[in-house]
Amino acid sequence: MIYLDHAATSWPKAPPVFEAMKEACCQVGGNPGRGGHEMGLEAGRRILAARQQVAELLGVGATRIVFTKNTTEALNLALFGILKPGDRVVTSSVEHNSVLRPLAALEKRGVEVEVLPAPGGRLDLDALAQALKKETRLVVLSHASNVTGDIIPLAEVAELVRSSGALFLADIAQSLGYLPVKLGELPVDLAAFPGHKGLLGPLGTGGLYIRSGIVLEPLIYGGTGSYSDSVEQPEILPDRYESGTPNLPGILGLGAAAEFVRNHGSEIAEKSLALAQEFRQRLSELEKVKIYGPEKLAVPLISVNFGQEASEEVARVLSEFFQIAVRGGLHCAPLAHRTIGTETQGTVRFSFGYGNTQEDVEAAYKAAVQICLQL
Amino acid sequence: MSLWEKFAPKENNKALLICSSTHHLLLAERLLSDHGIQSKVVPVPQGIVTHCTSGIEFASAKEAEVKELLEEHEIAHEGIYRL
Repeated sequence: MIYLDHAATSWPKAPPVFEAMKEACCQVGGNPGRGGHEMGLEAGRRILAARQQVAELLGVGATRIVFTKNTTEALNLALFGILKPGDRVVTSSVEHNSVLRPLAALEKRGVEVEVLPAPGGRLDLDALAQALKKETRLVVLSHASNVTGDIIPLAEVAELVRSSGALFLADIAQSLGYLPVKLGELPVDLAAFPGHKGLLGPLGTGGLYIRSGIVLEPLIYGGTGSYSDSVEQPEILPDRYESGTPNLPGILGLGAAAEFVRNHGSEIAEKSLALAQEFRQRLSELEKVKIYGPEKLAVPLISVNFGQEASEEVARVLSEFFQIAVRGGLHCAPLAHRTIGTETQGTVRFSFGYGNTQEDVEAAYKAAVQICLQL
Repeated sequence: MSLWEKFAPKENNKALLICSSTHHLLLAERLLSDHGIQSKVVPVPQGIVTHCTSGIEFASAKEAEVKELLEEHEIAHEGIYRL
């Protein structure tokens, strides 16, 4: 199988990732932060090291990183942790359901939600500036669209939001690992990230960066291995937001992944982007292929359609008859598809990453030609 | 003729089971396999209105048996269509 679905999750994972996970299962058995024995302490030390590895990649302090099971949980923690009835939140029409569904639920609880237009997939910055004239508690935007690959100017947007007095939550699910994201150097207040996409870490891992001074209502409450004499949730980070036994193998894999990407990430990103750009160029020569998103790619993903064919059917054909894994459909972003006019057809998304080669581009292009011949 | 059929010549006497979610689709696939019923996950042809984009194709002669299994194992499904 040729894997071109890295925007859903990267595959394969970097070798140090599964080595760290194996070590977590075979050699580091204790429950971190629980019990005074050496095995528990050692597990705690390893989790701290993983937190430091992730923090270093993001250019922030380790205590400000909270581990979650994915970006969705991190976004939920931020959104439900900040927004109260009567608050106003601004987002855009290219967001993923991981933002839109929590906001729809919060709207029913009395939060005012404004969804900004993003013509053709690109956020209208004037519309954002206009929207921020009204008192706003939070702005939540994705750095890179999972449908079109369009990006927002992160620093400019963060400055704009900061100067309005609102908080800024960045969804960096599609950019982390492919674009440099040094959160400590930007006026970003919160950032939700996956461990398993551009970071090449295990599925079921992710996290939330919380700037110093921001206190959220936790999403879940429970034991943290600390302050056990009290039934109140501790205020100290990361304990406040990490109740219950953590995913030790996943987190240690994530730490190893962050370290790997810190050392090799720019090389992987450059190669992935070059392959995606070349594939886009070649597809643009096919008359029956419609390409969405920017001509010059910022992240290595391309959304296309083949004539009027349903995107899911094209994806199944590519899988079954060409052994190429891509994603068809709406990519959990219904408003983004409404924005680019593909809400019925969806799009076929090709996303490149670690391990892809020139031969993969050739094979995918030849498959695209074969499909066009059948239209 | 759909794009899928251009690559996979249409077989006669097939039925298509459409489940209510991927979880139930995979449960049904496993269930049919456990009962020796040959099946294949295929895209749902355009024209069938559903939230699910994939269905399970199987021999239509097995329809009654499949229906019984779906009921017995409480597999949430939207319908079975003759192809």
